[in-house]
Amino acid sequence: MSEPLIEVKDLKVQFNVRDGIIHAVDGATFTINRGQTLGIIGESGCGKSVTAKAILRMVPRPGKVTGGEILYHRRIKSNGSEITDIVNITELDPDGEEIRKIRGGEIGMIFQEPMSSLTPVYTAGSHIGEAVGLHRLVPIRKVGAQMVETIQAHRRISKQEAREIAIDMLRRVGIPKPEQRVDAYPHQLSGGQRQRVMIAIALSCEPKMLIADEPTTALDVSIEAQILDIMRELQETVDMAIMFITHNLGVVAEMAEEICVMYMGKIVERASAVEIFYEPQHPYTRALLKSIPHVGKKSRERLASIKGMVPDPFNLPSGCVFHPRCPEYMPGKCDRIVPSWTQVGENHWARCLLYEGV
Amino acid sequence: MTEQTRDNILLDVRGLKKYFPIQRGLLRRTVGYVKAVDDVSFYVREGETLGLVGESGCGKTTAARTIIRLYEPTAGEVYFKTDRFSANGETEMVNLAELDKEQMKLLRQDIAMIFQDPIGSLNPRMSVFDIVAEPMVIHGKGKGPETEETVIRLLERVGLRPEHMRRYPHEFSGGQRQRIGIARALALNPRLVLCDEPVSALDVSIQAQTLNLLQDLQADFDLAYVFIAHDLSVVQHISDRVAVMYVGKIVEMADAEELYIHPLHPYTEALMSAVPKPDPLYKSERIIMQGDVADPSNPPSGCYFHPRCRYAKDICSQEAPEWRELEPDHFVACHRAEELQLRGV
Amino acid sequence: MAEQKVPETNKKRQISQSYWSLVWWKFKKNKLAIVGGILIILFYSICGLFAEFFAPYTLDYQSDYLEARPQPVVFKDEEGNFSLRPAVYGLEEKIDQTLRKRFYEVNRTKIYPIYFFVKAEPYKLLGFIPTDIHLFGTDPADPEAHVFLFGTDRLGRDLFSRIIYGGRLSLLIGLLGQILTFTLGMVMGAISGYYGGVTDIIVQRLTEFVGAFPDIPLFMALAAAIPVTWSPILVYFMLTLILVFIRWGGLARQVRGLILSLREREYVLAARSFGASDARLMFRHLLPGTLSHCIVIATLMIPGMILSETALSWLGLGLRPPLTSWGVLLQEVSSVRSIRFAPWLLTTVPFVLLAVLSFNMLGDGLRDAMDPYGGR
Repeated sequence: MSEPLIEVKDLKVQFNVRDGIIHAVDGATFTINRGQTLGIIGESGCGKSVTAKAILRMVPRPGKVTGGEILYHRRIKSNGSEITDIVNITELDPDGEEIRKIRGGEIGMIFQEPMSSLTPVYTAGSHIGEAVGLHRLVPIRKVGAQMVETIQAHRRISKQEAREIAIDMLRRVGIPKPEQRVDAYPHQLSGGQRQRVMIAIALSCEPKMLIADEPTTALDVSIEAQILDIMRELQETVDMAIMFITHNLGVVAEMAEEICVMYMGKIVERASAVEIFYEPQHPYTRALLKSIPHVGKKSRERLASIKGMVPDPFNLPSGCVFHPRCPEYMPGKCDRIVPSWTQVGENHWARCLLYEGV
Repeated sequence: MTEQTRDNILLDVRGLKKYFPIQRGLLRRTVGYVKAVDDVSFYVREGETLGLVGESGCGKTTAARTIIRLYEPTAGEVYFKTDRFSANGETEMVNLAELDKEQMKLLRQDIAMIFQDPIGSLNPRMSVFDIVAEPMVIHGKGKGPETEETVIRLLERVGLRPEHMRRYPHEFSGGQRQRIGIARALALNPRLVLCDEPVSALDVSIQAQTLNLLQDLQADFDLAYVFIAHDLSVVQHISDRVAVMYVGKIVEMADAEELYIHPLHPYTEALMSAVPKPDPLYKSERIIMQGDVADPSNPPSGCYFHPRCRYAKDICSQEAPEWRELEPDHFVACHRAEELQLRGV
Repeated sequence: MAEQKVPETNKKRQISQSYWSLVWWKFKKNKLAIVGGILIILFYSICGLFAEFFAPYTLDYQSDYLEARPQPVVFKDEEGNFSLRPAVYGLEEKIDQTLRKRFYEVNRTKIYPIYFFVKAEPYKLLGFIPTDIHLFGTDPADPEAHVFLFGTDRLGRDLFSRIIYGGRLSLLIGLLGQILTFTLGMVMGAISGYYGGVTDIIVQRLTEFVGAFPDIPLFMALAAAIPVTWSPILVYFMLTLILVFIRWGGLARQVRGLILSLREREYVLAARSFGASDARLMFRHLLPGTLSHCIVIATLMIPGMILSETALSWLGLGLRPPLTSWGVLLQEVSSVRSIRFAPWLLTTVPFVLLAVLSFNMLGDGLRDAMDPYGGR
């Protein structure tokens, strides 16, 4: 089962802007196995979305992948037998044929509420271009037409067949009356239904992996529960890996088998979901877990908050980037030595000097 | 409600309604109403926190804004305990909905508001000093060097430095901006603060800091809060009592712990079960609510929740349930509240 | 993620800057806008304030040289040797026998040196300082000497001087008209957006009513309504008012829209929740929020004002001689005959273009600078 699908090795993404360089992703290393769900959690600006975009070669300007590699283990049929071909995504042309086949086809994606990013200042034309590039819904075109287009872009089938697949997918994500809904415009659907449509589009090409970037953040709790259930159900039936990016610890606990915790562009801890929640090793993970209130456990106690603020990305602290906020700060060490990626247990890695014996 | 709890009530909202007309056509004919707040009753005691929780569009923000008369109420009474209108310093309950502009302005010193958007709630053209001092200026107290002292004291109290006073909102992070908004709310020494999703836009670690600050301030200044949020865990953490809203109506109100352990309304039960638990070993027995939240301009008949309720019977679609105090201090609006055995968290 | 980070930190780097200092900081980086701004300042000081000083001749000066061609500038002294002092060749009258027309030829034997800060016709600087110093001119002791850099018109008036004087009226009509439009548009738009209801409907219908008129016929009717007996100055003000009347609606609509959206901003609600008065909300929160947008719109509208004046006067509907504006100057070359025989009279056109272009460059720069938070 633990056959790797995506291997990210020491990935580095930089944004060169006028005021300096932002290390949006700084040495991320992780593996997503087939059929597995990897959760990535972190606060805003920690680089979790950029990591996902790097896998699809969609890092927005002026960002650039400056180091590391992303290996995609692609299964192809040759002479009747199935072999695994390893593609290094970082070496592909970002606008080339190859990546376009992977993006949206073999690796699907869904984002936050799919229409919220559309602003009226752009013209209809630019929306369509953007939607094709970013896989978002175009407000002025019917849901079905957009689905058919995506399906046909990745599979060689007729329009009628594509439409049938679209209706079937809408039914599977729980849209009522899919035969009628396929001809609806996005604004006629509710936020939850639009997110279902996005999932349907993403899954219609039978991807090997789904990248879900905060897919339920803009939705209400009851709708969020529906969407999470659908994603889990579908994952069981189609054998697909999910990379689930969120800031919500509850959502990630429910969805992920393995979790990466990110802080200021670095993965600070990686372990199975149970270990992250029950035996967190990195002080940041521990602090994060303590800082959220829990439903049901009523107490007038104060929350254990993380002191201070997220540092200026142009002016990162020396040594371990978390040291100014860390409750276990060791003066003379943490502010001097950059911690390395250390194994702290079976399949449990952390980036902290506590475990390096220095 | 029982008599002995009656005295220390600070805010008593009765049958509050706010309908927004839907206007169409050239002549702006009113073709219907969005019943954003539809016959809502609740009360807040002095120094306590009432949580107001519900999904988007349920009218919780509108309710708060109607209380402070940013929107004019369509119907209902909002009683607030004050001694500002009595000659001998006695306190009385004054109906805010009936006050004229000048009287209302007097009472605005006692009720402040904290907003959700840490960017949008501060005027980008004003310095932090001007922002925090604005309530004092409005009430003619913003003159002389004491103002600066007060502003410095407020900023220090919310964890900002005095030199921040001369800066502008864009120079601060989200959490700091929210602190500026909190300092402004405290400028006139209010007794009630309406907090409209004050931590929803903040990151997890900053959210905890802000919640702690709000709790500390409550203890120091003896504040009462109406705390509006969609995040149940946050609401439960900070609230003494919680009211659950659904499509313009409060469906249940009780002590926070009681509500979570022993809910009486099916919507409360479903909402709580839907919250993802930060525990990977938790076996989810989630109640999935079918369909979407009802449209407040065209709500279903009877109980608004009945199309999504798994306990619905015929009566639920025919008659609106009555708002009643089933147990002391535990209110609910459900036909079947007595017979159902609902699951808490 | 990273996109959000970028502007945040940019802001942190500048220590405590108000909105307007941020605007200025960003505006300074736009070279084109700076050039536009400098040109506009030059235009207004040369034409508007100190026209009499910069022009070698006064407005009513008439020479004997009718429709004389421009005199080329050379660096020679009277003996024909190189000199740092610029000079112009003299002109010689000739008759074209076939056309039976008088014309001038450059006479290279006559050289009139140009002197700076010469005493010539007396005038009042800024309207109250009597002086007779002009920036440049010919030797006042030599009555024969003359300098017509851009030639002369049919009545023998120096075109260079007239362009400078003409710019005064044209540019002022733009500025004055725009200030009035700006005030009227802001006030009407603010009232309409803030109070809403019946007030809003009335203002909206009024702007639509005014906006529905076709421009030119309305101008003709209004211009025809101005009595001929009125003094030119009065006509000038009437024309400004007509332009304002037609143009305030567009700005009012924009202000109304901005006010409507600002009214629901949380900072405005916050001020209202503390009991802020209408006046405070308007002048402290709403109007400052619209101001930057409106300044940009207004700057970009000034060229339209200038061009309208030019167009109207050219059509004979606007300013009339003896008033001198760029429109009036152009009206004098509206015949094929003058373009054929005195093409130098078209020198006015580049000045109109340059003024319009400067305003547009400034406006574009302002538009970018006025939004310092969103830019990256």
